[in-house]
Amino acid sequence: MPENKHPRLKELKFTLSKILRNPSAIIGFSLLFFFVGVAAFAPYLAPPKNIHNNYLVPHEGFSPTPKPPSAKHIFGTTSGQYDIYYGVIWGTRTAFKIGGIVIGLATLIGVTLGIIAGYYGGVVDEIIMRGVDIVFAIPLLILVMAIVVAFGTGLDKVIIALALVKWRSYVRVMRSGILTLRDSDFVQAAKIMGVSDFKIMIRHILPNSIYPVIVVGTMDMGSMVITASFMSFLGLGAPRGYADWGQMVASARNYIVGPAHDPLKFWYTVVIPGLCIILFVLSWNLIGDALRDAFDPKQRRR
Amino acid sequence: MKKMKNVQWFKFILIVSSVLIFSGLLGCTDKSEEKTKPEEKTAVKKTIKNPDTFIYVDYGTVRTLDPAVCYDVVGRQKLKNIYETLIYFDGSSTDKFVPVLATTVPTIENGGISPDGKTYKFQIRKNVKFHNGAVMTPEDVVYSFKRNMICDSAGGPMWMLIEALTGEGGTRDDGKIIPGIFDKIDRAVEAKGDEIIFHLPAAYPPFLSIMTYTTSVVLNKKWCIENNCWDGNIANAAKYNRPAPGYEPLQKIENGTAPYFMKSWVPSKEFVFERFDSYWGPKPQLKYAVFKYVKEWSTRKLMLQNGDADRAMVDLNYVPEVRQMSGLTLYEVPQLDYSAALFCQKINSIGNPNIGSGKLDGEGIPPDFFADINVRKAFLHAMDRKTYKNDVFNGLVVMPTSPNVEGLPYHKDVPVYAFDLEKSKEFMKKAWDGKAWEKGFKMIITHNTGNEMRQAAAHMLAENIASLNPKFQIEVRNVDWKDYTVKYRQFEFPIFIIGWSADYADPHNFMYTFMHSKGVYGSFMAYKNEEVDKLCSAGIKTVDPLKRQEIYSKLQDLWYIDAIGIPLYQSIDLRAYKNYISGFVPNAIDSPAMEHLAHIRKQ
Amino acid sequence: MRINLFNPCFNGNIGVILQAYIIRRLIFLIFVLFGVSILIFGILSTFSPERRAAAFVTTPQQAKNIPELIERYGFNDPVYLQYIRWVKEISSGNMGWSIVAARPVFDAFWHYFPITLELNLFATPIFIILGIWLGTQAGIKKDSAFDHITRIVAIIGWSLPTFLFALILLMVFYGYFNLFSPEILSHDLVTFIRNNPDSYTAYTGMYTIDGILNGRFDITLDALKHLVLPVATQVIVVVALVMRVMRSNMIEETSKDYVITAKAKGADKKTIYIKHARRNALIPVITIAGEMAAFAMEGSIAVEIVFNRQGLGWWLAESAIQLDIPVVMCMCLFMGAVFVVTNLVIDLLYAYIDPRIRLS
Repeated sequence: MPENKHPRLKELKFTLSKILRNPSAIIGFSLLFFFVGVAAFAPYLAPPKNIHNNYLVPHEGFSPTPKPPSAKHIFGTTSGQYDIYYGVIWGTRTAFKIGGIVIGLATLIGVTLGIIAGYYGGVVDEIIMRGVDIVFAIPLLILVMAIVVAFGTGLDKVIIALALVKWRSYVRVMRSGILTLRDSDFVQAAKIMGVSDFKIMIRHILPNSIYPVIVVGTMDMGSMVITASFMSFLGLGAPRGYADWGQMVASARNYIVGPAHDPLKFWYTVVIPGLCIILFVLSWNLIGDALRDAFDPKQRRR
Repeated sequence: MKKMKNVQWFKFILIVSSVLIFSGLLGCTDKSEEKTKPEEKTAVKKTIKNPDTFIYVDYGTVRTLDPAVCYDVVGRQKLKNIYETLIYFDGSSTDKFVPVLATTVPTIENGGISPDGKTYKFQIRKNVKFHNGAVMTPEDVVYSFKRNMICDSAGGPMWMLIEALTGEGGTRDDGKIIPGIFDKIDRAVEAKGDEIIFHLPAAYPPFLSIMTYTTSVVLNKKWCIENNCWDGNIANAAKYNRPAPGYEPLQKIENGTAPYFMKSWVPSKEFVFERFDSYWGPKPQLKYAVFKYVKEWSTRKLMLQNGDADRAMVDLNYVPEVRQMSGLTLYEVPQLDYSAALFCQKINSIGNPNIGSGKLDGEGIPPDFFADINVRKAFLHAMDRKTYKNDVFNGLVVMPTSPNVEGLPYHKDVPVYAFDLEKSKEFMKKAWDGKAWEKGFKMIITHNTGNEMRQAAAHMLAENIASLNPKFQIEVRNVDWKDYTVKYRQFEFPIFIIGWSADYADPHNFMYTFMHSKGVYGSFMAYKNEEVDKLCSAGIKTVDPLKRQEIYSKLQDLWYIDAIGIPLYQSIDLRAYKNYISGFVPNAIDSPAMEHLAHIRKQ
Repeated sequence: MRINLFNPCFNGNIGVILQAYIIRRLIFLIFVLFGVSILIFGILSTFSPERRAAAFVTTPQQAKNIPELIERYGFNDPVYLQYIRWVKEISSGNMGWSIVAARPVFDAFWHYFPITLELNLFATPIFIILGIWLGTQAGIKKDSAFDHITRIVAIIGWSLPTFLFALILLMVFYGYFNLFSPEILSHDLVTFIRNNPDSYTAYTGMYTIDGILNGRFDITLDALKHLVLPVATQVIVVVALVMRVMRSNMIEETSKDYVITAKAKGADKKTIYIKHARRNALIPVITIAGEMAAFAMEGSIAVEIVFNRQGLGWWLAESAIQLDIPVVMCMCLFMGAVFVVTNLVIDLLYAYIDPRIRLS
């Protein structure tokens, strides 16, 4: 019965079984499911107080000194009396938003340009790839900083800026995969049969060359949260009181070490959101590693 | 297999241990210091690092050392220790003066000021030397004032002297040089023997206060001309007007008369002073002073804690941390500044996201929303001054009642709109004939990024007003300071939160700014009240203190009656010195960045 | 044209080909710099004239002169005119004025450059050697405890923001143990250098090297002490990247037929792995040199801010926040040039190391 299935499905099944036998992949996926669960049930886990914007962390008073965990605030409050528990829960959604939008947009742009460049070659390829060279010549953070400064600060601007820069790496990954496919028999056959270029690209080339993009994209999902937090550190990212892990770490940076007699006094302001970032990045990295091992044609059949 | 693993592990351990040993070696000198410290503490006071140097860490950058261009607290902090003025404030006073390069402070009684307030005479001190060894002459003094006024850079501070001495607001109007302005400047100052005489077109009560500002310092004429400053010929003045920023002649060099001279300056890194040994007055204790630029607060805090800095700039939100540190001397210095949330009564409605739909339909506010005094009063009653003071400032703040803050002449407390959400509700119901309450509204309150005091005020207003009626929606957004200065000037913010610190200690500097329809803020609130305008203009031309008292008393009342804006805070600066530093004299006119090095002692 | 450049049998026109190749690369460099300048100018031209003028304003008092500043600098002119003016200035050697550094951009650049260079001169060998070693071990012992632990530690290392690492190190070592103070050099030595300009010459601007050249080993030692924490942070940031690439190369290499054959023949494992597999796995690491440079530059920003070392990274971050446009332009051009030159060097190195690869 399964033997009659489409060969691509068969391959997928093999890949899945390969992934599920990898212990680090299992850890990665369980962490990811945990985060997805937290994000999905955020309104139940931490009922929002501000009806117009869920991402605003509630606060009681304005005192700058953090308060330790208590029955009312189980993770304590950070400077400005923002509830850390609420911030962490809704920050999960923010993390997915950052990673999802940035990688989604960037892969969309990158894959499209990469296919066009790789498939048509020649002048088109030259123009696109030289454009990529130019964008690639500036380090990510620096370019993102320039764009954010131009468009104004804020998390939404940071997300857009990251997407506007991040696409460049996917073009290269995509194109290098296509170069070998372009001259392959099945593509040539399709061409002779008069299949339109668009259809060839979508039906034949894309499914066979997308895997490296998926691997790289998965790895990047987590790291975008870190870049966004760096923007908060510089004062260009999410404002204080916004449910975002990176912002929480950045604005708690003066509480890493407490007063001399009690250096660990404010541990919760840094450790809790920091741990969330680590686990989030860890989960995507483990999944990414597992996917690479599973997709790699040289590795998979061993 | 096993063997190889062992070899690898051995290698790993070797590397780790060598790294540790290496770092241990590097750190060993410090460690030994650490061990000997407690013993030394009991024996001699040798623990003080760099005993002949005062080290101050803050985060302001100097753009220029040209007294005619510098208009920021960080630059003035340097200039004040390099150059001297004719007179300066006496100790902690903001209205009494002591002579510096002059020998007496002119008054009406001693004949230094003419009874009509239009002529001021200063006797010049003798045997004063510039840092290059030249002796100060009356000609130098006259040249300095003229040269600085002629220079009048874009965005510079010279308007103060020009306004007092010529009656004009600057040398240019709309980018073009005002005809005859340089002749007016030329006639305003003259020297007769050792006497410098200033001729004012009209009485100007804050004139002596302006004479203490860094625009009024004395330069060396010969040295200035050698360095491409105005050549002394009034016919050539236009050529020296408005130098390009960064290319003003005295941007990087100095030649003052003060007890310290500039030893070296690395922009945005450090500024080093060295004692000037031919100073005419008493010799300061410390040979060097270094002002370092350290942006990250944690780094500044640790440097102060470990004695690598003798003073650190403390922002208000770090006050509780600093209070817990040991080995420091803390001073609380009230400032002559005033921050307020100001209502814009004629908001720009073209493509402005801050007022939503631009109509009173529940999705926005009309451009003249705040022209209704009931709306303004509702917002005023929603400001919880007590919580604001205790939570945001830990009580370390003066809650002002009008722009004429404590410490300024003619200050009085006027009534305030007490925190009362019921009253706020009442006024909201009355506003716009009940339409505002019925339809609701939506708007955005902005504050400049990073200013937590203003952020808290914005949140407090937004949350309290929104709690009155679920149809009221107020969002709080942060805007970068550079954009903020641009956008409030384009009437884009329904409420803008902003502050002003004194150029000189006179109510005119505040009342005109905040209330006059042409004031720096008044004009962007689109607030216009004929009576206020008249009173403001009269205030600056009146010499008689009793009459002035009456005028400014009325203006302060009008601030309350007209509900012009929400007074937020008058800051109290917390200065943190190591406890072996002494000699600091608090003065409200000095910004937190200011440091009078000549007084500082370290032992 | 498939010619091996470094093949000793091929003496004829190597020079010509090499020359042509380098010239082509230099033309490419100019092209990239031109593109980068257009790109950055495009981004920055979205600023309203008022905003750009506001960059010169520090106090509310000065704000009333914004219109005058706009006129003074021609911020109101069309973008292309501003661009042409900028190119003219650049070609006459004037990079503009830096508000942050309060001096011309060109001067300021050479002032800040040695500081960043020094940091990376020390950090680079450490993270390369450490990364390669860890990566090799993890690759050989794939899926062992060592592999998993190093990977997780590496992920933790690069999943925490750099500034957090820098701050933790600063807080612990300087705040708690009073070791390794921030900044570049101790205060007394700075004073000494300032007061004795004759006995100390700043040959390179790097205190560690200048100290040796001047025979002042105490200065070198002191500068090294100040470098410990910044270098440690920088290493933590970049080592994960090197390690990861090395590990996957190693895995790929050890699964190749020649290794398997050698193993089957009973050759010594150590010889196979270290002598053959690692040597081959090392080659692709060179390709990420450009990426490492970008990483190092990005790491330098946080490191320099936290440890108060005024270098290029610090300057750039400060300029971006203060809208110091000429600096942002200059730094982007500089990074573009570094990138292209690095790639040129990589290509040449690559062709030298691996004879199978040709310059085409």
